[in-house]
Amino acid sequence: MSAILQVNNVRYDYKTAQIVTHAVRGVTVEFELGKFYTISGRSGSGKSTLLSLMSAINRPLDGDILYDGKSILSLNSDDYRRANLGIIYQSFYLFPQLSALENVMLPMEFAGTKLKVEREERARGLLSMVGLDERHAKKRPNQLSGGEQQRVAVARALSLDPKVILGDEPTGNLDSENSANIIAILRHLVHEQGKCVIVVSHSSEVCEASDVRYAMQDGRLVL
Amino acid sequence: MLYTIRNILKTPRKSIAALLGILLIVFICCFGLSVKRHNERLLGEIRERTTVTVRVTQRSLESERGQYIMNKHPVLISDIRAAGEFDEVETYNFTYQAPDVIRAFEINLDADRLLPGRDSCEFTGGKYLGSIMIIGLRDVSPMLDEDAALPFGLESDESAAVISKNIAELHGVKTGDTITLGNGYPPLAVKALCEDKNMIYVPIRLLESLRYTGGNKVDQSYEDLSVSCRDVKIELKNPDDAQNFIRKTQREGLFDGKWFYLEANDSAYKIETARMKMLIMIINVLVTGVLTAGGIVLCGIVVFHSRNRAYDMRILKLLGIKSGKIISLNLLEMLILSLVGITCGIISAAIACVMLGYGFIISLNILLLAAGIIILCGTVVLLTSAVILHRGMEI
Ligand SMILES: Nc1ncnc2c1ncn2[C@@H]1O[C@H](COP(=O)(O)OP(=O)(O)OP(=O)(O)O)[C@@H](O)[C@H]1O
Ligand SMILES: [Mg+2]
Repeated sequence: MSAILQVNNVRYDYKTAQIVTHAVRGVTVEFELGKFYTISGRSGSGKSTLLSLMSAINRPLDGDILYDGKSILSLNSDDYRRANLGIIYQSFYLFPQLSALENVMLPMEFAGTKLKVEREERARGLLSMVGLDERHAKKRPNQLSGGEQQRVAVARALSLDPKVILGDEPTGNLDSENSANIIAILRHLVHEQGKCVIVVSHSSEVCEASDVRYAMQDGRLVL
Repeated sequence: MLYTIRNILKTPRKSIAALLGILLIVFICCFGLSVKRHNERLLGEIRERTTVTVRVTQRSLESERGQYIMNKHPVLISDIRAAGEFDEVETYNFTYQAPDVIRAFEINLDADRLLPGRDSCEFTGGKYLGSIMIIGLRDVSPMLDEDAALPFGLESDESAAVISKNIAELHGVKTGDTITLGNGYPPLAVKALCEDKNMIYVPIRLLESLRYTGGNKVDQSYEDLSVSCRDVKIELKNPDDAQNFIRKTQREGLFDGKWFYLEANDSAYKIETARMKMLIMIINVLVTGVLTAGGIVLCGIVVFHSRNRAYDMRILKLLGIKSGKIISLNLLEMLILSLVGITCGIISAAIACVMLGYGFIISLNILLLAAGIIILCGTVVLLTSAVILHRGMEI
C-alpha cells in the first residue's frame, strides 16, 4: 500500500532572539492508511514540531512533505489541513460557548455543507460513534468530563472525514479508563475505517495499541 | 454569519463591554447633540426676533442741545456706508433724533473746485454735485434765534437758501438770485449771504431729496458727497456680533472715539441667551471629551474583545479556516455589535430627548459619529486580529 503521508528529510529550527533550537533535524518517514502510528520520545525531542510540520502549521526549512503524492508546501496550508487532516490535542480545544454537537458541526458549517439537518445528522452519528449520546450532545464542554471532551474533539476531527488523524498527546489529560476509551476509538478508525492515525504520546498504553512505533531523539526519528 | 451571530449570542459577556461602550458613547453624544440642537434652535428663534443695533451718538449732543454745532466731527454718510460694507451689518440708517430741531442743513461747498472754468452761478448737474461736500446736518435754528441778522426763514420756505459770501462772490450771485443744486432739484432762491465760508444752507427737504433721489440714495459720488447726521443706527445681522463690530469699527478708526461713542442694545439679548450659550459650550466640551476619551476607551475595549476571541481564532485556524475568513468573521461580529450598540444608543437617546422635550432627529453629526465608530472598531479589530493570527497558532 502506498504512503498517504511522506516526510522527506525534513528540518525545522525555532529561532528566538538569543538561540536557535534545532527541533527537527532531518526526519524521513512514511505513513500509510490503515495503520496506527505512535511517536514517543523525551520532552523537547521535537515530536510536536514534527506534527506541526505535517499539519502545515509550520513550514519545514528543508525537505518536503507529500500528501497523497503531492507536496503540501505547494498547497494552501489552511485548505490542506481542513480537507485532509483531523487534529486532536492534549487540551481539547473545543469552543466553550458551543454545545458538543455544535462543536462537531462547526467544521462542516465552514466547509459549506449546506443543509443543517445533514450536518446535524452526521455530527450525531460521529458523537454516537465515540460513545456520546443525545444527553452529551447538548452539553457544553465545561459540563463534560475530560474524557468526554476529548471524544467530542475526536468527533470534530472526523467531521470532514479526513484520511489522516494527527494526535498530540490526546490522552495526556485523561485517566487510564478514558485513555483506553480514546485508544479504542482510534483503533476503530484505523482498522474499521482504514484511516491513518499518527499519535504523539508518552503513554505506554497508546504505544502498545499502535501498529508502528517510532521514537524521537533530539529531532531525529528512530524506530 | 451563523457562526458570528451564535458567537455573540452565546458569549454575551464577552460582547457586553463593547456593546455597552458603544451604546454609552452614542447615547451621550446623541443626547448632547440633540440638547445642543434644541438650544441652538431656541437661540436662532431669539436671534430672529431680536434686532440688535449699534447706535453711534455724538458725545456732546447727548447733554446739551445746540452743543453739537461745535462738533466739527460729524458722522459722515460715507463713513456709514463704509460701515455698511462690514459683513456684520444688515442695514444702517440715519435718524434725525429730533426732526423739529433740525430745520436746515449746511452744505459746505468746495468752492475752489467749483470755480475753474465756470462763471455761471447756476449749480447744475451731477457734475457739481460731485464736488459738493455736505458735511453737516446742522441745526441752524439756534443760529436763527441768536443771530437776527440771519432771518433765513428756511423752516417755512422750501425753496430758499443762504450761501456764504465767498461763494456768492465767486459766482457772482446776489441775494434774490436762484441757484440750482442738481438734477431736477427745484431752483433755490438765495435769501441771504452769510459770513461763514464755503457754506450753503438749504431746507431739510432738499437735503433729504439729495439723499433719496428717485427713492434711491445718492450714490453718484458718495466719496465726495458726505451728509452727516447726528444719530446712526446700524442694525446687525447677528446680535452676537454687536460687541465685535464695535471693537472692529474702533480698531479701524471708523468713528472718532473722541466725539462718538458706540453702544449696542444687546444686553437683554445677552442675558436672555447666556444660559443657552453656556449650555451649548458645555455640550461641545462634553461631546468632544466623550469622543476623545470614548474613542480611546473604545479602542481598548475592542482590543480586549478581539483578544477574548484569540482562543477561538486559533482553533479555527487549526481547523483549517483561512485567516482572511477568520478576520472577516471578527469584523462582522464587531460590525453587528457596533450596529446594535449604535442603534440602541440612538434609540435610547431619542427616547430620552423626546421625553425631555428636546426633540430628536438623526442629524449628519450623528451619522458621522456612527460611521466613525464603525470605522474605528473595524480598524482596531482588523489590526488586532491580524496581529493575533500572525503571532502563530500556539494556543
Ligand atoms: N515556539 C517555539 N519557539 C522556540 N522554541 C520552541 C518552540 N516550540 C518548541 N520549541 C523548542 O523546540 C524543541 C522541540 O519542541 P517540541 O514541542 O517539538 O517538543 P516535544 O517533543 O513535543 O516535547 P513535549 O513532549 O514536552 O511536548 C524544544 O527544545 C522546544 O524548547
Ligand atoms: Mg509536545
